[in-house]
Amino acid sequence: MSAATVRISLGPLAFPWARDRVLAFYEEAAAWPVDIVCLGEAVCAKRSRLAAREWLDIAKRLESAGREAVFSSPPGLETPGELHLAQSLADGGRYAVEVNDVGLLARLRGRAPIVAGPHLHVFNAATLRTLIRWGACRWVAPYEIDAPTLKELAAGLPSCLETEAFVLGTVPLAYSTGCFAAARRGLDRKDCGYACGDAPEGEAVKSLEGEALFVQDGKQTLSGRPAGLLAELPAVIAAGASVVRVQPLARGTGEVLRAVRDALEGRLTGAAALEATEAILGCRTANGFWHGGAGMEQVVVPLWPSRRP
Amino acid sequence: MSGSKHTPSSSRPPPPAGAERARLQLTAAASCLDDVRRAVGAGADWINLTQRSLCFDRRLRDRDPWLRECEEAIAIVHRGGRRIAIAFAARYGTRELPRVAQAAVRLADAGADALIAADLGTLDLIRGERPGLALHVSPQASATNRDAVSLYAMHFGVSRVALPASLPLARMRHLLAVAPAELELFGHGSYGSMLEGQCALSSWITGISVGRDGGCSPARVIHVHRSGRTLTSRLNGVLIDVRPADVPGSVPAACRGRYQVGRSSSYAFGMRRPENLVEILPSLASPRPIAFRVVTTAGGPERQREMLAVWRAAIDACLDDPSRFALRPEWRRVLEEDGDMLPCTASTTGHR
Repeated sequence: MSAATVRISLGPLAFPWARDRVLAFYEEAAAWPVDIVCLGEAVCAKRSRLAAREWLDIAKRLESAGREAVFSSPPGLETPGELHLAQSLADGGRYAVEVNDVGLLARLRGRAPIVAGPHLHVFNAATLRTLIRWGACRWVAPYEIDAPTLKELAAGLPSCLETEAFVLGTVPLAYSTGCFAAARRGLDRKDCGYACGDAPEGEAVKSLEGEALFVQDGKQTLSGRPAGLLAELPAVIAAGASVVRVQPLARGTGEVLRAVRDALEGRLTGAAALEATEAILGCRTANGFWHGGAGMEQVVVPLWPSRRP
Repeated sequence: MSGSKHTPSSSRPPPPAGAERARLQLTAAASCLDDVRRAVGAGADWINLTQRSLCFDRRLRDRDPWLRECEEAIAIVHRGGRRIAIAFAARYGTRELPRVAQAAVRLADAGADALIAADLGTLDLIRGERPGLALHVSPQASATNRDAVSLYAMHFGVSRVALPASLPLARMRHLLAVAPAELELFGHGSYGSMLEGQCALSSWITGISVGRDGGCSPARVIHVHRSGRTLTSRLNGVLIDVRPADVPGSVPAACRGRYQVGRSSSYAFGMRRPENLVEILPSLASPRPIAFRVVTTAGGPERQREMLAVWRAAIDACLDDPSRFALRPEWRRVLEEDGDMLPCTASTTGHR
């Protein structure tokens, strides 16, 4: 895979942005150097401020701007309605659905292209073979994946299954069936009153020493600082990724996408792209998962090979 | 571990009459042979044998001691007329799969009544090796809806699916009514606030992941330091709790830490515990048997025996006459006293 043919995908929105902000974000996205855009509500089925029809309108607009639209869905779907919504966004098979809950596989098999999402936690070839049987055309490596595992899985895949790997953004670490935003305000999950909407970028969870560890956003917990694999981009591509994923940021998403594109096309070195990105983010990034360690670590020069077999 | 003779499983007695069809069943988690003996002694219908320590893959590399322990556990359980399921619940790497397959075959041949897995590939693999063997899905698989249970049952031949501990009661009741497989519900245990199988908090701080290593926040990277009257807990060097030494607290873990959110510090991931299902046993209805998973492996032997005995007594009382079922005060005392809990109340009201 040559770096110039690698496609960039924009992950689903992690945060409960207001309707206007979502619409404006995707209006802009049509002009960004991105190939695939993941749409839809990927955290909590209750909180999407856009109706299915509006999401489909955004998809059409992105499609006419030459982008591939994919509808993401959350892990841990509970009600038949939530499953049905994810199914209906495929619009009769016109759009691919990123599946993060195995329950959706049976509903979508043969009805829509399936992208196996990062929350299916694929770590072995047997699971990939199973997903191919269920109709997956692309799989997104789990956020926790390390270099040797990605290489082992992506090498020797049949051409019907593309590999997508996450390279930049905050990491969705955990999902709960309860909502932390609602619980903190003493509200019931059923009558949450969109409590998460009060904190459109989530609530920072710091250690008592002030270290930014996590960000809570409704049912979801994100990493306290972004992960960035731009210095490792050649290795990610050499391992077999033909799509690299960037998560939407609170601000500067377009600039970051341009830096990633420049790095892919050789106009920037990985190190320079990382530096530019960290300047936009205003913080250092982490790359520990890729090097087989704690996710929050920033490995500069790996001193020993990954501990994974 | 001493004193129990290895007996071939072929000579096992049949399970007690009626146990096969018991409408409510007690599943006890065990992580060593002593746990297994206590669970058998307490009358658990099923014993789920999980790995005591992290890094099952490492255990598999030198798998003989572990497999011998499993074989002994199978013998103990069958002598007691109970059934045993053995967990392969981590998400293995490709290179570990042949060892997983060999271990599965050996345990199936030794008479394991079921194997437990979380990962589609592992389920597929075990099914390919031993098509007739019963398979259970672990809570790590995060099966939260009917379609997921149905996929495991119809396409992977799974007979029992364990639901995540935090699934709200209403969803649980719905699944009990419609799911096409037996369900295992969270009865008692150390309760994390995340969906099992969807939590990488420990992995972010320590690199040890529930999914890949089968456990989180491992003891070897936890340091608890006492200074005067204050206990300070660090996980891989990261401060996760500071509290008075005389206040009982939970085992340190990433999701049980005290953190700063906004201007206040709190146990930010503390969630209200789900309903105590013992209290509502008679109201749980399903066309299939319902299993209750009771995980006491973090408590001491006495606590383990007590908790299993309460569950056994409650289930028997409910099977006997559901209309006259009532929670006895001495059961309540045992159920509510627990050192290994999230620092929030063992609530008996709704989970949020």
